[in-house]
Amino acid sequence: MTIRLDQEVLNQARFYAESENRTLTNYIETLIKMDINAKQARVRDLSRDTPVKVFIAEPMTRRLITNPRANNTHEEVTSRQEYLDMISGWAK
Amino acid sequence: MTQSLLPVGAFVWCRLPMSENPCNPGPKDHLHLVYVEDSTDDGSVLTIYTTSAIWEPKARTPIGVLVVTSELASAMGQKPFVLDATRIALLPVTSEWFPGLAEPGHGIVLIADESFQKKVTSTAHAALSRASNLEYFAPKAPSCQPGLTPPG
Repeated sequence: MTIRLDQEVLNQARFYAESENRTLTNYIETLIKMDINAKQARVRDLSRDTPVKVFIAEPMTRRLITNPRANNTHEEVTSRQEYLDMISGWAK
Repeated sequence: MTQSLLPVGAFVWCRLPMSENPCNPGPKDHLHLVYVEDSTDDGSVLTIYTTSAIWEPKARTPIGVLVVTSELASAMGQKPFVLDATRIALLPVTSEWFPGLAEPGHGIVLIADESFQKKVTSTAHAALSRASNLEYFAPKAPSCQPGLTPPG
């Protein structure tokens, strides 16, 4: 198996592998196992809150306003607006 | 009021950012769902992550995740997929983030019906109600300049 890595990433990986007395292969395998374990733990442990990754500027300096379509019900628009307010920090 | 090219409920080819590089579009085109159009900006849309990777069959579904089964997916003309409302992004409607935007269909594969959109709303609100915190990334923040890799 061959993998291709960005040279800078490879340099840093070698550095940290060496600093932990690991081979580069073992270092990479360890990282992969950590990620797999984290994902499996997330599925198993439903009692744990899952952080919501929000790719949005924070804090928002303006309120986001949902754009209704002609066929949207008032309930749908209100629900989407509540959602926007929560993720953008404008919820009261 | 300006209407975005990407309506609510659209499954569209999108380059949702990766958490390790939130300022820039992700490396590959994937189908993601438009959940909200923001009317106050230049037509930004809030997208929700989807993946065709199958959830572990016997595992219970985490809060904020909607597993779309074969039956439901085939009714939409799709393969089974998972919608993960714990990963969302407010993105400008540009070809940089939506590579099919300039094409005739704007990269939209389908528009979900009202019934499915209600499931999405329920899932999205559930994700927020169970979230202990929001991990903010900022593709539109002033610090996110084109080509800039944010500090790790």
